[in-house]
Parts: sequence; structure tokens; C-alpha cells
Amino acid sequence: MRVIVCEDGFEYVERFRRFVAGFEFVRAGHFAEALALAPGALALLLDQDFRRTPQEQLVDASGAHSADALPEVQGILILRALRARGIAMPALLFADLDDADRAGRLERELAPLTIVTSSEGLPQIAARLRAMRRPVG
Amino acid sequence: MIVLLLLLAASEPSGARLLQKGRTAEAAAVLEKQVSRNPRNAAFANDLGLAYARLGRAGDAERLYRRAIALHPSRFLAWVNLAELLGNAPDRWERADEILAFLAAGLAQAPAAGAASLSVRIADFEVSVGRTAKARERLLLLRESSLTADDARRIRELESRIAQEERARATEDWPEPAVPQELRAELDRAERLPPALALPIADGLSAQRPAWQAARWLRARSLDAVGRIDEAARELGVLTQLRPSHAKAWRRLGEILAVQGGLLESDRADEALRQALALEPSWTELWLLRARVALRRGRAQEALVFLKRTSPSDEAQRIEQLARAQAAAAPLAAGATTKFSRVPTPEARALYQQAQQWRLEPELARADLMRALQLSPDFVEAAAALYPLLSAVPEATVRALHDDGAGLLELAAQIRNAGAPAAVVQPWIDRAVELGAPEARFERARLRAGQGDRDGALADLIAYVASAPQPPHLDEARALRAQLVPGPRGDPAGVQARLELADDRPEAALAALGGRCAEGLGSRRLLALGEVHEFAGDLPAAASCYQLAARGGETEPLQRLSRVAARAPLPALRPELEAAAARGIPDAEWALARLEPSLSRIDRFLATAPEDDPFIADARAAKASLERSSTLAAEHRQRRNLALSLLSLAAVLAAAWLLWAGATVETALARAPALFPALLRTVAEVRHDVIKHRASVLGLAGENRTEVARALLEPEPASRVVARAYDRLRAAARAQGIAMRRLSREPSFGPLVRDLLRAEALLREPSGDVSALDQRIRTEHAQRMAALLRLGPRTRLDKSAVAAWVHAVEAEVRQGGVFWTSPSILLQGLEVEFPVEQAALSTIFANLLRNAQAAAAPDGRVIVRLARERDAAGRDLHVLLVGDSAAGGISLDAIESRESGRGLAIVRDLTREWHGHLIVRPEDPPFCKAVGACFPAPSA
Repeated sequence: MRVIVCEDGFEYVERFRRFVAGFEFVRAGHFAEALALAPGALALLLDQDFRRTPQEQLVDASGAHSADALPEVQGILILRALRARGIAMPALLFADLDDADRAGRLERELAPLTIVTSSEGLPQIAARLRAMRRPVG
Repeated sequence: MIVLLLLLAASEPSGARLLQKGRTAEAAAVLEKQVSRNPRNAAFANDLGLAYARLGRAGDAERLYRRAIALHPSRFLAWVNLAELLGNAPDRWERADEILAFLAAGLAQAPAAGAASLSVRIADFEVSVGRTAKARERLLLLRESSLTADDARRIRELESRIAQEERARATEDWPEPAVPQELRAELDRAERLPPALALPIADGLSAQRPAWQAARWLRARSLDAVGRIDEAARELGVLTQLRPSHAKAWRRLGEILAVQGGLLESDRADEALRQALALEPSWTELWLLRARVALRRGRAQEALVFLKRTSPSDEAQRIEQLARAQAAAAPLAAGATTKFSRVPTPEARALYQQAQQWRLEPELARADLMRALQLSPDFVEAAAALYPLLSAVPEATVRALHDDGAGLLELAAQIRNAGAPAAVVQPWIDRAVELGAPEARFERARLRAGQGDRDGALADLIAYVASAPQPPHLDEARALRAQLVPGPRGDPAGVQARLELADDRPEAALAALGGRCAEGLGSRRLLALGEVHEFAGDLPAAASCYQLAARGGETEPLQRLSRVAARAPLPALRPELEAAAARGIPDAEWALARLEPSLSRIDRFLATAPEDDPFIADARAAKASLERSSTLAAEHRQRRNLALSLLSLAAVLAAAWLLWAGATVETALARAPALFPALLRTVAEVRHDVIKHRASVLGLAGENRTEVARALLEPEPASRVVARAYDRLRAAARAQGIAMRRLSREPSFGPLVRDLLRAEALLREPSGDVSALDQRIRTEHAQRMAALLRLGPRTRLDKSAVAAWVHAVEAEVRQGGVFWTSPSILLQGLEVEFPVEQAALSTIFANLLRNAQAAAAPDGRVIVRLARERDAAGRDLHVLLVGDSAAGGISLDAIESRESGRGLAIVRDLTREWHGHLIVRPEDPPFCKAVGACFPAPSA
């Protein structure tokens, strides 16, 4: 079961590979890679902040390279661009949003999306992944 | 004399009768005839000798007496008469030995009946030639024999004369040593020097010739002149001993003692003044001094009498007032008046003197004396002379003296000398006692002792001794007491020891007591020995004696022991002192306090010691010293404690400074809001690297402990990552002038590091539950980090704030003389809060506005716009835009490529610094484009 880990580094993917068994974690460093890996993937795990990603790989909400391709919210923009392209796989966004309304709004707009805060450790995240693996209905 | 006359009358009626009638010349003529007719008649020869003696023909008288003795050696009258004749002879001194030997031979041949009379005459002669001691011995022996009344009277008279003689001898000057001429010259030279210079010379001369009176006189005067009064008085005392006739020495001694001596020296002062006056009666001013001394001695009446003999003066008046006041306060009985008040008239005195001539004419003498007493009834001498003739004292005399105690005593004494029995004088002495005459008690004691009234005599003696200090007959009173009261049956050795001590001979006292203290001696003897040691200043020896004595359990040894120990602290005495203290002996408390300073003991001593205890002053001083030293010690302790406290406080402060010095993140931000971007970076790093990634695996430690440990510890421990991030924050703060607190004491990062360290430590161990730490890191610490982000500065912009900033830029631009157009401000009623420090935001705004003004020149327009927007990430953004009407456009890339430090590059860098975005947007006409910055809206 492939799970896309979209981040500007390798921290998440390495951690998941080391500690969460039963999944194939593939890393996507930017929108294009995520888009390419999306078909057949079980889920998308997204970091929010892509400050380490070169500017030219950043995209805006449409998936285009523009002035609005902000790195600090790149994860949301990638997800929004993927959703715009019909990618509907479940996503977990690792972000500590200080505005609960905003989180709820995002989860609704970009569903199926779960925003995971720092208060959730790896076991909780793994549990979420395992929950995604079960057949629905 | 009466017996003699009677015998003469019996032996030769004719001559003897003429002699009795006082017709001495006729008697001599008759007796010469009788002697020539009866040359071997011893009686005629004796009578003729008597007649010659009365006619002043002493040589003939002696020849006739010797002839009578030769004719009839056992005829004692001749011996008696011869002795009396020789006793009045001018050459008696030279012939004393011869005469005495002659009289002694007569005494050996005298019959028993006449031996006593002859002995009295011999004693009389001995007195007349200055051999008073011999005469006293003779009279003492005579007192043991039976005496006629006449002999008894003569013996009393002689004893009185002896006393007078001895007093007179006492006034004789001592012979002076031979003094070399050079010493005399030196003395003469010293006499001309000032006293201070003369004194050392006089010292030397006196040392060389101690009995040299002139040297002592100079020394005394010099000492007096330089103010060494006590030494001067001593020197004058010695001088008057050596030379009782030295009137000036007596005078000066009296003056010194009267002025300087006080009450204790008042008797000596009075005696010295009396001696001076006796030698030089013209010094009447001394009477004033004597009056003052008399006042001091409590003799106001005497003082009043003395004052009559001095010249009137203010001082005399003052003393008289004092004397009268004293007399009124303690009125002296009339009987205590002095003999000065009894002065016979000159006529009475002449009659008395004439009566003295009528020794062989009793009738004539009696008549003269009676007449004298009529004129001066209180003429005691006349009454005494009359008593042998009358065997009575005239009633008028007794009446005259009825209120004169001294006079009554004088009368009693003289009448007793005249042979009167005690019963005659007793009423007078009783009256004198009633009157309070000073010596009356003593006289009555003597009288009562003679009458066998022991108790009465003793009562009078006690009253006498109690009447005044050093009464004149104190020694005699003691002697009389010794006759009346048997001595105490005490330890004779103890008494002897006490006498030796009184003579300042402690060694002799010790010898009297047996030498040394030892066990087995009685406590009395031990006490006595201890006292001697104490007297000698050998306190340890004294204490040893008292210690032995105290074993008997008596209190007195303990008292004495305590007193010794109080003077000389001896630790060995502690047990006895404790016992004494337990018995309530105050000195024991003080002695113990001296061994070991104790305020409580000193207080007990001071509370219980009698007022006159000699150690009270020392104890008070010791108490004050102890209190002072304890106060000092307390102060020292206080200072030490204070110093320690200060040191501790300093250490605590230092530790606190080390631990707590510096600002927390919160306070640092409050003081330097510009620090916030650095904080944002630090928090983002910690949250991302540590909390989100490395620590998030802690929940799996139970399953894969090794990997979890590696995740947390490698490539370096997570705690160190946090520490390093915090160090960077501190460095940024220091750049802002803020010292931040050490990591361990920083309330946000510190606890996180501690928990990480604990987790790391646990994970280095094979077991150990880290779930609690995991929970805390993901919740508490994550929330703390999030909370830090809410501490960022906020700058509210509204219409007025924007206008103010516009005006500031306008002023600056206009000063530069470049184009300025007032911008349109489009706020839409907004009040927008930016998460940016005010200075940074105003700088951004100013640069945006200047850039727009520059672009709009020379005639363009500028617009300022505030807006709220939401971006694709769902964030609410606050936007600040400044547009212009210039046709030329600008791109973000162009701005990004600009060098820092100018215009929009500043806007770019500051916006990025504060986590905002530079934006370039087109504007509706007449404007063309707008450049600005947008920032996420601060969280509520």
C-alpha cells in the first residue's frame, strides 16, 4: 500500500519507513512529484512548510508557479492543486494551525483531509494510516 | 601636820605652845634657852629646829634636827621634820642621794608607828628631787599598810603631785645631738631658700640628724609650704615630741589638724592648740580655732567659753551662732560647765593664799578659808583646804556647786584627797552624774568599786565608755573593769594571738597558736590560725585553715572561707564554696562567680549581700563587664551572623543571578519586539525538528526501543538541538541588547530540554517508561511553543495612524525638494492589526510611499490602501498597499533582484523578516499598480 509523503525534506518519510510497517512510503518533494505518484496511492501525507524547496518548484493553489506559491503553506497549496486535478485520496496534513476555524474550513474544502497537529505522535498517525487501509463499508 | 603639832605641844608646853600660836620668834628664844639647859633633850632640839625652819634658818634647823636624831634616833618626828626641811632645800637636787641615804637609815630605825609617816615624807622628798618613779613605788607599798588619815591624805596628795610631775616632765625637751658647724651652715642657707628648694636640704639634714629639731622645723615648714600637709603634720608631731616647748610647732600642728584633720583629729588638734596657748598665751586667735574644734567635738558650751577669749570677728560671730544652735539642739546640762566659770574673786584667792601660810595656825587658816568661801562659795580649793580643819564642807559651797557638775567632781576629788570618806562625796558625784558631767560616771564607778558595789560600778563604767570617743580615763576605766569583771574564759592562746596581731606581729601570733593548721585541731583554733594568716596576707594558708575548720559543719568557717575565696579565687575551694552558697552565704556566690564568671551568681550575691559587704563594688563592676562582654559577644555573633547572612545572600544572589539572571523569552520580547522573527525561527525549528519528528516516536518506545532511542539521540541528542536553537535565540537577543536567561531556567525551553534529557537518559537504559515524557512533550511543550508565537508584536493601523505616517514621509520628501503628491488613503473604515513591530511596519510603509511618490512624479497620484484578504491556504491576511499612477510596471522578480538597503529592497527584507509577503498588484485607473506587504492576521 503506497503512501505518498510530500515534504521538503526526508524526515517524515524516513520516520514512517522506520517505524510504521505495512506501508510503502514514497516521498514527493513538490507538487509535480506528488501528482505523479498519486495514482494508486493509499494516502497522501503532507507537510505544510516547504521553505527548503526551491522557489521554482513551488506552486500556487492552481498548481502553477506564481508569486502566490508561498513556501510556508505549500503543503496546503499542493493539496489544493491536487484536489483541483481530481486527486481525492485521503490526506493527512501535518500543521499546527492556531485557528481552529481555519482548520475545520480546510478539512471541509480539501476533504478527505485530516490536519494532524504536533500533539499527535507517530503511533497516532500510524493508527490513522491503518484506519485508512480498512475497507470502507 | 596636826599630829606633828600635837606631839610638839606635848613634848614642850611652853615653846610648843608658842609655836602653835604662831609666835615663832618667841618660841625660838624660849627653845634656845631650853636646849642650852638640856643639851641632850632631843625634843627641845627638834622643836628648836622646827622654829628655825619657820624662821627661814634652814641650816640651823637641819643642825638641830640632826642633833635630835643623834640624841634619839628612834624619835621619828625629827626624821620627819628633817626630811621635810631638806625636801624644800634649794640644794636638794645636789644632795639628793646623800639625803635619801640618810633618810633610809632613819626609816630603818623608826618605830613601826612612825615608819609610815616617815616613808610618806621620804616619798615627798623623792618627788621633790624628780624621782617620781621611786616615790610611786614607795607609795604603792605604803598603801598596803595601815595608815592614819593624815598619812592617807598625804599619800593621795603625793600621788597627785607625782602625776603632775610626770606630766610636767613630759613637757621637757629632749636633748639635742651635737651638730657640726657645716651642717648648721647648710641649715642657715636652706632657711633663706624658697620652700621647694629648702625641702630637699631639710630632708637630708633630718636624715643625718634625726633629733635635730631645727632641721625638722625647717622640714616641717617646707612640707607645709609645698602643700604636703600630711607629711608636715607628721613632722610637726615628731618635732613636738622632741621639743614640747616648741610653741610654733604646736601652733602649726594645731592649725593643720584643726583645718585639715576633721573629726578624727579633733582631739589632737585641740591638744596641740592647747599646748601652743599654754606656751604662748598671747596667741588669742587660737581660741577661735579651739572654738571651731570644740564645735566639731560637739562641745558647744566649751566653744562659747573659748570665744570669750578671742577678739570679736565675723568668724567668731559665726561660730558663736553655730555653737548656740548646737547647744540649743543638744543642750548641755548646766553641770557640764567647765572650770572657767568658777573663778574666785581676787580677795578670796588672797585669803586662800594667806591661809596656806597658816599651816601651824589652824584657827587662823580656818578663818581665812571660811572668809574666802563666803566671798566665793564655789572656791573648791578653799573648801578642800578647809575640810581637814572643819571635817566638813560649808553648805554654801555645796549649794553653789549644786548645778556645776565639773565643780562637784572637783570638790569630791579634792575633799577625798583631804581624807574624806566616800560617803561624804557620794551625793556630789551622784549630782554630777545627774547633771551629765563628762567624767562623773567614771568617778562614781571608782567610788562604787571602792564601796564594793560591783554592779553599780560596772554600769557607770559602761556608761562612761559609751559617753564619748576616747574619754580621758579610758585606760583607767579598762583597768577598773578588769578588777570588776573576771576575764573571759576563752582560749588564752587565742587572746594572746589577738594581742600579738594588735601589735602587728603575725608571726608571734602564729607561734602563740601553735604554728600551723592541721587536722585534729579544734575549729576555734583553726579559725584563729586562719585569721592570723589572713592578717598576714597569706590567703591560701588562711583558706586551708578555714577549709579544715569547715569540716565540722559550722557556718562561721564557711563564711570566712567564702570571704577569703572572694578575695583570692582558689578553684580547690569550689566544693566548700558550693556548700556555703547552698547555705545562703553571699560571699560564696561572689567567690564562685570569680572562679567562673556567672551573671546569675553575681545577681544572687548582690541581692543577698549586706550593704557594707566589701565586694559589692567589685561585683557590680564585674556584672557590668560581663554584661558588656556578653553584649559585645552578642554583637560579635550578630555581626558574624550578619556577615554570614550577607555572604549567604550574596551566594544566593550569585546563584540566582547565575540561574535567574536574564530575561525570559516573554520579557525579552516585551523589551525588544524586534526579537520576534528570531523567536519565530527558533520555535519553528524546535517544533519541526524535535517535537514533530524526533520526539514524536517516543510513543513507540515500548515496541522498538532501540530505534526510538536512535531517533532521539542521533545524529545528536534532541535536547542538544533545542539547546543550540535556544543559544541562537540568546545570541539574537544579545544583539538587541537583551541578556536572556540560562536555558535551564528559561520557563519555555528549559522544561522541554529537561524532559528531553530525561527521555534520552531513559532510552539509554534498557528499560524505562517514557510515555509520560512523550505525552508531556507533545502536549505541554508543544502548547508552550505555540504560546510563544502569540507573544509577537502587533501594530494597529487606522486612518489617523496612516495619516501620521504619511505626514512624516511628506515632511521628509519635501525637505529633500522632490515631488510630493498627497496620497489618497483608502481604508474602507478598517482598523488593521499587523503582526509586525511598529518600527518595521512604518519603515515598510515609508519606503512603499516614497517609492510610489517617486514613481508618480512629476504629476502622478498615489494611493494608500489597507485590506483584509484570505489566501488559498485559508489564512486571513492583512494587506498594506501603496499604489501610484505611473505607467511603468514593476515585478516581484525585479524587487527580489534589488540590492538590500534601499527602497523596495528594504520593504522586501523587512516583510520577509516578519514572515510576510511582498505583493505587486495592478490598480484601477487612474492608478496603475500597487506594491505592498501582506501578513497573516494575528491570532485572536
